[in-house]
Amino acid sequence: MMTTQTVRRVLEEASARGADFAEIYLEDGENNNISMTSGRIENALSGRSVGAGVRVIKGLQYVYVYTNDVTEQGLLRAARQAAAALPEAQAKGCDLVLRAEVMPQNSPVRISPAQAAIARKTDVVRAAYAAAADYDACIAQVRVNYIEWNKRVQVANTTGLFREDARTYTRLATMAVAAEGAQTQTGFEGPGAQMGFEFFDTVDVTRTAQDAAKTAVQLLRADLCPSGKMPVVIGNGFGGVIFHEACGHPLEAAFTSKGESVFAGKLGQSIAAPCVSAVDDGTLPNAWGSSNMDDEGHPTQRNVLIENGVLKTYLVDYLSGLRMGSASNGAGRRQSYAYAPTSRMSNTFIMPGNDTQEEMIATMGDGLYCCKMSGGSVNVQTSEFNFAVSEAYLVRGGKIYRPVRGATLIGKGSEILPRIDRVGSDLALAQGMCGAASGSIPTNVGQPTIRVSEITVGGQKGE
Amino acid sequence: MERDALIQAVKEGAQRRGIADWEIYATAGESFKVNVYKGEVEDYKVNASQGVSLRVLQNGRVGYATTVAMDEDAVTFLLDHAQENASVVETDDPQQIFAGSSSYEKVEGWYPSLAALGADWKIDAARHMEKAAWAVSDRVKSVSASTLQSGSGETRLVNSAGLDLRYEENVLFAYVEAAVADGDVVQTAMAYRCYTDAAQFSAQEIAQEAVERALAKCAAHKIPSGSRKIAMDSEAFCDFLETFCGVFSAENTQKGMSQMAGKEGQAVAAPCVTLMDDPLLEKGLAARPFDDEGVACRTKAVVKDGVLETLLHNLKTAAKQGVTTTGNASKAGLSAPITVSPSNFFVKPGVLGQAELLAQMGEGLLITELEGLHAGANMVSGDFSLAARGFLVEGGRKGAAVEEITVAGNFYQLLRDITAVGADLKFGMPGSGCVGSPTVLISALAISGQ
Repeated sequence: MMTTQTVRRVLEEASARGADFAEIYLEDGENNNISMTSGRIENALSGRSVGAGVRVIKGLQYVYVYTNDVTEQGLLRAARQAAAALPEAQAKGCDLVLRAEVMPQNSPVRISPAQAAIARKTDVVRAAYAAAADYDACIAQVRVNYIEWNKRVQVANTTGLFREDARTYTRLATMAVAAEGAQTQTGFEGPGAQMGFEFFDTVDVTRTAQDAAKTAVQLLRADLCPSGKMPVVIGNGFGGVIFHEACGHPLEAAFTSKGESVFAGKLGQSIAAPCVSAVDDGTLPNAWGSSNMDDEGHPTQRNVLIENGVLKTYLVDYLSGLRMGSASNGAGRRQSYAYAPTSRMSNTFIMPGNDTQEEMIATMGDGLYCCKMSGGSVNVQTSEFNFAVSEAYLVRGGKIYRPVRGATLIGKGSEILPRIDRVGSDLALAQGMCGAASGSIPTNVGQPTIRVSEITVGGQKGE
Repeated sequence: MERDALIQAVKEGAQRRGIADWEIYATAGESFKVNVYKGEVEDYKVNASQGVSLRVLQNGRVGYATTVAMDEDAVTFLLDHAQENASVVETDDPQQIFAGSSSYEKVEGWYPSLAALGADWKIDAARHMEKAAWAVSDRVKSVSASTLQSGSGETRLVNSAGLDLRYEENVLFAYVEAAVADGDVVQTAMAYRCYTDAAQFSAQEIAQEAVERALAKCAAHKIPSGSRKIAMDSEAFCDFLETFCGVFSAENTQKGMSQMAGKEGQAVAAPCVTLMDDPLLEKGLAARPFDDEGVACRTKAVVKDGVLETLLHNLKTAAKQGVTTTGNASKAGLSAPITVSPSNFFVKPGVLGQAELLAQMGEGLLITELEGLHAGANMVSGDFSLAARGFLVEGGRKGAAVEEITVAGNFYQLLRDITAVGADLKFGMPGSGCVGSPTVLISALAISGQ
């Protein structure tokens, strides 16, 4: 890790050609992966990742240089390269006073990954494997992945900020394949947290693995999903991926500050139904998408994005903040030193309301109940989204009729948000990896069960 | 520590610990990216990175460890972790450290004209693209990306069986993303090119394509749901095939993750379909002389006239099945384990152009964009349901734009339902392999709309 003296030298070198702002980000981390398939531990991998990125900003231009060489010489070389990419100007001479701080840990770790013997990790993997494999005679294959990584992060910049943070992530992913005749289907569950090995005291490994198997088996017996516009009830937890895609990404200031989002210029306006309030909260203890500070060194915070349908704030990183004349709200994130930071989500969810799932389904007439989603994407400029439903049921006359498979929901976020007409009380969060300009980062999606009065459902059944 | 010194130290460490079988996979590379926004360089990135991955074979089991930190601890880290990891692996798969093929084809992946380009040339090129994009139409609302990206890298494979192979490559990409006004809303589109020769670069060509594509999407129709005849253009079918190309991997068939298991010699696609995997393809963006186990690469048909000729293999999957490896061993990244992936993988083109194919189809839909492939397509079941955009085809001609539709079906069935293959072969961006396709006609897929 860097000393105050090294940081000062690097920042001075980086701003030697008149940068308005210079930043150094350094991380040092380790990761371990263990996978099991066909009844045996198949792969075990370990990695060490060390690197640093220097960013300089002049006006609204930025330069980013990264390197694996984290010796002082290596960092100075990166700083010189970054400075040299700017047009020549007089350095703004100033005495840089760095305030070194270690961030208070909001996600404490009881058993660090290094403290847990590898045999304990393989035991967890075997337990999940057995639970999924034994769930039903139709389970033809199971793949279990144990994933853990930790890193220490330092960020310093020419405002004098010099902060250090530590992060530890643990996740267990189970995929089950069910087969019967010519039919093959899959189910997936992947709970994770910002915790050490004690994560496994908080999660029911057997049940998680059985849930993955259950989805696969149920899909085997499901009919093809019909197509068309219909009312849709979306289940809690990972169902929140709809909000993540359709609303979360278009609220990132990297887009809104350039007018490249459907929600640009709409602060204070109603963009969703009045029953919808949503937050992005990076401070939740031990949550998958949390951190004590963001990857620009700003403490994370609870940002209310939408309150009773009205747009309250965007997700703002430092550079987008410069462009739109507002301060960062702790949303500058990056996968690693190989990426410049930009505005990203942390734990993003729709706040609970008062409705019940029973009433939503009973009063929806004919439609679709999507109980599990598997992911999606969005075009932020048009807010066109798509997401795949992994487990769904047709509803006929207010009653769950039969399971269907292969459904996709599409539409525009700006048109769907006003059509949310029920919000349940059963808020739950679910873990995902969100991929965008600054890489793949852990984020939580979440919501209570909600209902959308009309949405386009795509299925294979041509009716 | 320099990379060669680290490799030497790992070699010596392995010997000291009595590890007879080991392999080092090392990469070193540089990359550059510039994006221009409103005439100014907005973002500018350069980097140099390197890393070393160690694979050891102990009691027949493989363990991996990887580091990008070339410090004093690196040697111990690599050896300790690779050994510990090997000790927990349980598979009895036949593993080996490869002593080398009898000969290797010469494959050129290093293009001197690209290596000679300086940062100023790339900044100018990005400026020109942005300017050209704004000039195409007064309906342009924003040019959100005008980007030049270049990269170069070296892969080195050194092992205990005496192999020491190197391969160097470089590449240049350019892309433009533009938004145009469509009444109250906007339509966006992107165009990209990959180059092996700097002289091929034309700012105008990319800019024009991006804006024209966005304009073509305006005033789009919504259409009713139903089953329709489909044409998929080259880019859409490339994305689609890339998503499902894992079904041809023996790693997946052996684990029950692909329905191609045991289908060698049988018809799996329509007779008009031939799928090639050609690592020796001249100027192919996934060209390589040897795979990630050091086996010499070779050209082969995976599907010939609809019949599955071979799956793609590495040494392990081939030994399990009692066949010869196809030279498709691959690491998805420095720290990833060895699996199987295609190289330049493409649908062999036919003779008819896209317009002739549409005339042959008569009525239907031309799909030009597919979204949500990472979530809405399942390789194991073959099921897909994807957001799509495209154009109506009426009276054998491309008609109005279509939006807010999904296209759904099953990949394994779709291969059999291909009725014609066009001549307009194009390759997509390289990922794990580089996939290419011409326009293809499909007898029917379920479309969801209004």
